[in-house]
Formats: sequence, C-alpha cells, structure tokens
Amino acid sequence: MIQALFDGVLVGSILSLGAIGLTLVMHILRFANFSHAELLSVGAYCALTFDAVLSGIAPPLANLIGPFSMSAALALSTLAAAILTGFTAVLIDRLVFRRLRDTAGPLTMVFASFGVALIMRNLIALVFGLRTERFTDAISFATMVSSDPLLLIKPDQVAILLIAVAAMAALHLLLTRTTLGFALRAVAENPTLAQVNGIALPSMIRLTWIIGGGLAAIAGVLYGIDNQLSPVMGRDLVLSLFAAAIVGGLGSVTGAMLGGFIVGLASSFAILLLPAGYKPAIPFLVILATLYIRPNGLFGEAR
Amino acid sequence: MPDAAPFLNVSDFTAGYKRGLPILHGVSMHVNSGEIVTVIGPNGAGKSTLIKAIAGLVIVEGGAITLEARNLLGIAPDRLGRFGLSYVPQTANIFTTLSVSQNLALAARRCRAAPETRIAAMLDLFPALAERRSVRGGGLSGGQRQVLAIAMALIAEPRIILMDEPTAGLSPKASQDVLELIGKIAGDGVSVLLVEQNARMALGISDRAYILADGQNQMDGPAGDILDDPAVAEIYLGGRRKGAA
Repeated sequence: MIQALFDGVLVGSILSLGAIGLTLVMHILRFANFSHAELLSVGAYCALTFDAVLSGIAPPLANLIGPFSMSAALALSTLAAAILTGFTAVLIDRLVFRRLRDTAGPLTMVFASFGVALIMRNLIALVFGLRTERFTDAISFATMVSSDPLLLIKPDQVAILLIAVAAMAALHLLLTRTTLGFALRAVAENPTLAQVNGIALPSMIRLTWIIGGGLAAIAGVLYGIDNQLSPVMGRDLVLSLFAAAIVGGLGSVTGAMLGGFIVGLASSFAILLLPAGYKPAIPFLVILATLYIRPNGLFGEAR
Repeated sequence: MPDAAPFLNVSDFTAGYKRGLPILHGVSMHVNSGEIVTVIGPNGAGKSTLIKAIAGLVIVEGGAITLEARNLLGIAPDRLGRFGLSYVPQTANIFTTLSVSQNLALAARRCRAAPETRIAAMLDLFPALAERRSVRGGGLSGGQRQVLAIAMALIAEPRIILMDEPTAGLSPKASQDVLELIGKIAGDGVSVLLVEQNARMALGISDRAYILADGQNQMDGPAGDILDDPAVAEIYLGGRRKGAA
C-alpha cells in the first residue's frame, strides 16, 4: 500500500511537470497540442547526448554523486536540455503553429500537432535507433533507502521527487510573485486586455513555449532515470499528460500539478486491484470520473 | 478648459472585424486636448468598433488616425500606451484571476515613472481599491471593477483615455460615480473619448458629441446642443439616418 502510494506520487510528480506546459499552451494558444509529450523525449535524448559528451570531455563530472546514480554531468546536461528543448518548442511554433494560428482554426492546429508528434518521434528514432537507452545502469544496483524489504525506494527516486517538486515550486513563485508571472496569467485569461495593458503577445507566447518545453525536458529526464528512454516514451505518456491537465482544469497550473498526482496515484493503486492490462485505461477513467463531478476540471473555469 | 488644438484625429475611417466586411464606413471625428467627447448612437451603430479601431484591435481598411499629428495606424495595441493612449474595454476589463494589486502592477509595466510610485498613487486616489488590494478581481462589485479598470488605464499617465460604455451594467448610483470620476480625469487635463448607451448621462458631462448610425457620422456638435436636438431621438429610432438604404 505504502509502496503504491510512493510509486503513485513519484509518477505523479513527473506527469505534473509535463502537464503544466501542456495546460499553459492549451490555455494561452487555445489548442490541444498532442506533440507536447514528444518534448519529454526531446529533452531526455538531449540530456543523454550532452551527458555522453560532457562525461567524455571531463571524466570527473561522470562520477556519481553520493548514493545517487546521477552524476554532475547529468545534472548539467539536464539544465542544458531544458533550455534547448524550450527553444525547440519555440522553433516548432515558428515553423508550424504560428503560421496556422494566423490562418486556420483550432482543429487544424490539433491535427497539425499530431503530425508534428509523428515527425519528432520518428526523427528521434532515426537518430538514436529504436532500442531503449538508460542514463546509467547504476540505478539497478542502488541501495534502498528503506530498511523494510517490502518497501522499495531508491535514493534516485527521492531525488526525482524533490527535483520535480522544486521545479514546480519555482514555477509557482514565478507565476504568483513576479510581474512576468502576472503577465503570463493575464495573457492566459484575456489576451486582448493583456495587449491593451502593454503586454506583447509574441514574447509571452515564446515564454510559454520555453517554460513548457523546459519543464517537459526535466520531466523526460526524470522519467528516463527511473525507467528508460525510448523514442516512443512521448506516445506512451501523452494520454496521462492530457488526463492530468483535464482533471486539473485547463489553464490551471495548480490544477495540472494536482492532476498529475491524481492520475499517478490512480494508476499506481489500480494495479493493486485490476490486471496490469487495464492500466492504460486508468487515465480515461480518472477523466470521466472528474468531469462527471466537475465539468471544468478541479480548478478550471467555464469559458 | 479645453484648448483648441486637435489632439486625436480620425479621418475617413473604414474598419471592421473581417477584411472586406467593414462596420465603419468613412467615419471622421476628433478630440481636442482635455475634452470629453462622447460617441452615441443606436445599437449596431459601430460605436464600440470605432473605439476598438482607434485602440488597434480591429482591422482598419482605410482612413487615417493621428495623435498629436503622429500616425497611429498599424501600431500594435501593446505599444499605444507609449503614445499616451489608454483604453478601457466595456466588459472583461480587469483580470479576474489576479488581485487588485497584481492588476495594477501589471498595468504599471507601461509607466515611465517607477511602477511602485504609480501603484501607490492609484491606491491613494482610489481608497476603495486600497482596502481591497488583496482581493481577486473576480471578487469585486461591478462598480469596483470599473474603478479598477479606470485606475489601470490612468496608471500609465495617459493623455487620452478611450472608454467603452463604462456605466454598462452598473446601478444608477455607481454610474453617476463613474461619470463624476471621468469628469475629474478630464479636469486634470486628460482627454476622454467615451462611448455610451446612456446618452443623457454621458452628454451631461461631455464637451462635444458625435452620433453614429449604420457605421456613419450622423451629427456632431456641442453636447448641450445634441442633448436638446429633437433629431437625435429620430436617429435613435431609425427615422432619419444619413446614408441609410
């Protein structure tokens, strides 16, 4: 039971990070971006590449930190991957979505996002191959944090949870304590009024992609540390990310955070009750149950 | 007392929400420095479209607009504050998910002066907002929302404010308070271009007025004369319109 709780919270923290960017884009740009989950893959593979390069250039950086199977090289690589993925998201917007925004409706944008997802997924497969990858095999041999043999918690998993929570706390502070955060929230609520108040929409849209892409990259790396990297990891996570965003209420960052934990916990506990084959259906059940009670999600507002 | 120098000048404006489907057909008007000018007219006359066109929010297909002889056509709405122009929309004119202070802080990004100084000045000017500075915009009454919206416009120290039906949905007392506030703003030398359904109240505080119908100029003149002119009622009821089919 406690194991399911921990596993649920761990997966939930990663889903929350991914869902925040998704909900921000959906609210500010008014379309469901099915390619968002692929940014997790982009981030994870960028970090894998940077990690290999850095470890090669400066071998001391490849040493593991304390009880963790992470190295300083991986930490630096994650930061670099977050930045690069943020700018990748801006580039995709410039090449595809911005052109369509001016001329096409939201449904066209959704279909375009399916296309972008396919292209991104296959580009990663083309470059890195279809085989799975790991940042390090050391996690397989990690010493458990708990002395209880029935409770399997690795130091890396604790670190993953702390990193995810720290990233969410940083975003929360940005949105609630800074004028830049107020501006982002203002654009999400009323783009026209935001413009009238001197906020330049193009720069806010770029910032949204950078934040969403950066958080997705961190989520991708954290997922890759605990599991493994594969070109289809975005496809595997996309429904859970949408479930988290919808359950939390579209546009609500707090909702996306909570939604991620709800979906993670529901999936984790469902395994105790249902055959593993039903696991992919859990996000849908969570969406249905939530929308039945609250049609706009937990923190969403009617639009 | 307003001087005679034309400040905002709109000439032969053709504008609308979709290209090729204009709502305004060759509308011209001007606002002098320190004046309150009201635009009135029946529903669908194009009053709000006119004010949105000046604010850069709809498609302008023809004509010219200048503020102190500087061209404003094609300037992005987020940059108009630098020209000394503020706009208060009719509805959804504050951010309901942000607190009063956060709304003001956001609007203060346009200020030349230190934002903190301007926020403090607005809270001094509007004690009702100071008392509710931590309340989310969604928790304010209609009158308080309108005052906050006007404070957000004033915080940038504009030289002209465009207001789209600032008394819409307000009680008679709140409407009177808002109109008095507009009078005080103009008294401080800020020009006001007002669009109002409540013609009698608006004309009562205005220097001049324009009447629009079917997206065209119908009449203009001193507010007192417009108020007493029997032709105004005819235009409102659709009996006498220039350019009507």
